[in-house]
Amino acid sequence: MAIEDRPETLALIEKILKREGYDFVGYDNGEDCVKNYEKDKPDLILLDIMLPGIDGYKVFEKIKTMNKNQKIAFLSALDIGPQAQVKLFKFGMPKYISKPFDPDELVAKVKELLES
Amino acid sequence: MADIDIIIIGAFVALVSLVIVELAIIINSLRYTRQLLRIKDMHEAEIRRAHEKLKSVDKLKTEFMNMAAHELKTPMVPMVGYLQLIDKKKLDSEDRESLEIAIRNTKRLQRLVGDILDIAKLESKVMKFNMEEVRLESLANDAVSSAEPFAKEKKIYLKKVVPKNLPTIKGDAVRITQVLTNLLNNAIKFTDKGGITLKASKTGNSVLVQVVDTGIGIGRKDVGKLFTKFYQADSSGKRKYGGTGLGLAICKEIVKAHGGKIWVTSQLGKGSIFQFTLPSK
Repeated sequence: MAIEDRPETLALIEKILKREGYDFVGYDNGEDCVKNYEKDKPDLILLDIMLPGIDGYKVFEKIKTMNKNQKIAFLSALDIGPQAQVKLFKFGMPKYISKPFDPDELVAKVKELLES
Repeated sequence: MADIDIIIIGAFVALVSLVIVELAIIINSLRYTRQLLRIKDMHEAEIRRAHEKLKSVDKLKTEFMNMAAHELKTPMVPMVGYLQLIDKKKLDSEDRESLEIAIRNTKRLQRLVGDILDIAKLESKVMKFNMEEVRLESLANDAVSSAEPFAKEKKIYLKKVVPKNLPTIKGDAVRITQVLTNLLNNAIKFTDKGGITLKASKTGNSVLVQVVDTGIGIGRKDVGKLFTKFYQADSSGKRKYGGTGLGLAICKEIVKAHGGKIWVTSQLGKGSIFQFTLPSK
């Protein structure tokens, strides 16, 4: 599952992952992801941070209260400075994939996360 | 009235006058003190206001830089991604070449955007450092393993000589790795035979890191200018070797922010030693 507000980027992630044979569901906002979470039951969530409505950090918290073992990786163009690192530390340091990413790099990180 | 009485009365009047004068001085002093305290309070409030203002300007500057970085990187995501998704096998040789040029330049633009944002953040002191106790050896391992494929591609050696008992340093692990990676990649770029050695040693209260290469070396006139933004050793070099011309300026700012020094010694045709110090903990 990916949550990304830019349609072109969401479609790109879908294309890359489907080409590798993964099932994919995407949302352009956090609310829909939370609403459909129980139905979708994703193995992995790729989560943008700057989203309209509730941001990626809030989505992270909501999903983790529903399922504390859910695998989630942030996918963002934001620079991870000390403040964001403190925030991520509180969340147990989830994986962070920086944008822009190479398709091969994304696939490698998704594989690594699913196998961890 | 006896003379003695007059003298006593005179002395008493003098004493009273003296007390009055003293009282007047004390009252005046108190008034001045109060005024001074008021002025001090006013100044302090002014300084506080100025400080608050500066803090909010600083916050705005940081927010602006972070937003600019985010907005510049966002359109690069589909640009970089979709170009690389195109199936090259389906293209004829001319189209394939066009695609490769587009990909190469998109990656260059991506590096340039990253470097410009880094130098802007460093120079405007917006870049925040996550200072912690770090072991240089593990950072050197990361930097060497990320540079290794490039050295292998050029069939040159890449060695690491870092003693196990090196003192720890206080620094931002991500940024120090950035400096190491940058210096190693630079050395690989300018070395066609022989190779590169990454060395570290203790010197006084610092750790000295050296990247020694057997590359083309740098002429005396260029050595002093290498850490200047957009400076490249010569225009033909710029075409042959590429790069943003910002890497060494970024390294200099990062090392400076850690309280260290960076410099280079070089001999044309024989190789260069890029070295920097970082205060040990």
